[in-house]
Amino acid sequence: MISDLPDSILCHILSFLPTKYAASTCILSSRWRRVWISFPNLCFHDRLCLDYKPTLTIEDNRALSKFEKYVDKVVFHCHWININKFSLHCYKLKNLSRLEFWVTSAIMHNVHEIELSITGQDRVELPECIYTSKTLAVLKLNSDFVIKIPSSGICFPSVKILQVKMFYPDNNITKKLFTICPVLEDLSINAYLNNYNLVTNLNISSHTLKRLTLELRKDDFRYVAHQVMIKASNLEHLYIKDYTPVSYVVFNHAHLNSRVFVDITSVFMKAYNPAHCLVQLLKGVSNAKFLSLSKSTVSALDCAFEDYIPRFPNLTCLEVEVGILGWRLLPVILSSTPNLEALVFAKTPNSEVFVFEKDAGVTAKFRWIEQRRVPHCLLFHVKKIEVRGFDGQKEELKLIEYLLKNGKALNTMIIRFRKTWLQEKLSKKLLMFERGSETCQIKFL
Amino acid sequence: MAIMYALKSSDNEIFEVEQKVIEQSETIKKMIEDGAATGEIPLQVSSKTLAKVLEWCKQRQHKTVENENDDNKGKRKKERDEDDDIKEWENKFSDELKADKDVLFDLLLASNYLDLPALLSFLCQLVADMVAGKMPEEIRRMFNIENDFTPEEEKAITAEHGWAFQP
Repeated sequence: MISDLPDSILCHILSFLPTKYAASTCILSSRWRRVWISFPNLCFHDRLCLDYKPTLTIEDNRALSKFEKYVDKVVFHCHWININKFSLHCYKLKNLSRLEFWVTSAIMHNVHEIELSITGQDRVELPECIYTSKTLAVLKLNSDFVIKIPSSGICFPSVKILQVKMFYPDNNITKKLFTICPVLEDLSINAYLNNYNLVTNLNISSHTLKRLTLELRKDDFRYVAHQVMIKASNLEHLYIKDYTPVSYVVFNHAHLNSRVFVDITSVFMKAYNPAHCLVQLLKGVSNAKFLSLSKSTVSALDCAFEDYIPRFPNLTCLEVEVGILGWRLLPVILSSTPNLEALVFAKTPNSEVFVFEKDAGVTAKFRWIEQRRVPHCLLFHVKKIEVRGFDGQKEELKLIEYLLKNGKALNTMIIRFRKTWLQEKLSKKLLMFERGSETCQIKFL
Repeated sequence: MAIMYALKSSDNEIFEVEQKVIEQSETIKKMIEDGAATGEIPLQVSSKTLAKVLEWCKQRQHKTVENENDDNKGKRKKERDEDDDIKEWENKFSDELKADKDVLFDLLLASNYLDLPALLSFLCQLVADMVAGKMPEEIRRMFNIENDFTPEEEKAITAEHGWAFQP
């Protein structure tokens, strides 16, 4: 019987329901009514009132008013001392003062988490009390809001997790906001940067920050000298996805255990050498323990001179994704990672290679170039190598032959074939390759 | 060799399980750490329910092992295929539970008692999906809930929470 379940489980069930449905369970029986009354999440989604449309008809407008009245009523009759979560997802608000009322009420009830998303409206001002709440620990702004930094110089005093979405952000905000949140641990910024002559300076400076996710975009590929500065001595996890790309300054070299993911797209950017920005970024994170470089990042790096690649003395795990460009870079990267223990080498699909092979200029780069000196890490440290997306091409076979022969400390070589029939065709040949390490096992997946 | 533990259900059936599988349960993990688990570990869970719990744990075990092996954020095709497999497995698992609600509720209680947060959330989501958008009378029928309100009380609640019942 469902009524035999304890209140905590019934509450948990309600937490997966939009407030409208959760509230409607109060009519089921006196037991359910008690559970609903003790339940502290308020989640509103206008999807329950109207379908998504870019323009609103009269009926939709009526539905909107109804939605607002409904939220009003729930908030007004709020009988809890403490609200755990207030979330609002809507397309538009007819009456913006309602937002202020709802959020203020939630904050008066010591709300722990606020999530707001108003997608069909020009930048809405964030209610003022949100900046100073002492109970608010999680703030997710999934659409663009006008943020006004309080004059006290401290913002979001208890917020540990902050997510913001910004369109053409103002420098007054980007230079300051992420330096004055005193207990911030996890920050995600999703921003569209200006196209023209307005340069964005994004400053992130925090001693408490552990995780940082940046997703930066721009409408076109024109070059604007946007800049990101990261000063976070306790950072453990850095994820950058950048389509613009901007230049990075990373201070206080990231934490020793940090994991860094870089995905920078730089098509059409050769005019000003994107590799330079990228090398700057890599220098800033050269203390990382784990590094993952996407295909486009490696392509951009390929434009850099070989000796630009910084050394990664602490790196133990490296993941590189290689397309057409970047092959010549691989030996250089391996020489810069003296203590590497695990290497993942992911190759992007075959078709692209063929397209570009026709282009004589690029063909030269699509091959494994053996260095005169075997990288230190291969001789002494690399225990595990994984090759993903193996297509069985000549150059790939050469690479695997080289790694097996020179990987003196190798325990495992994993080869993931793109097509299963390739495995039948090539596994025998691969198993025959000379192995530099007696304990080396080859696995096919 | 994997370390094995013997779990004893409330109806005295013995289940031999690998440590890694059963350590997903914080309750059992604590029992093992406290040294209370010499020989058989007695649990207040019926054999029918326990079998279901272990089915879930084993499936999860595969999932976490896979994830530990590759420190990768991006998804590869292979992984997507595995995700599809897991989805399919989960769908089958949910369908069985929807068909036999007694097992579903026993499993909810067991996941709470054994402290298996992933299973608990999965099951709560399942029940929530069953409830969402249904009329009160339908929900009562589905879960055998007795309406203990007087007609006057019911009217009053409907008036108070009118917004929740409008379609």
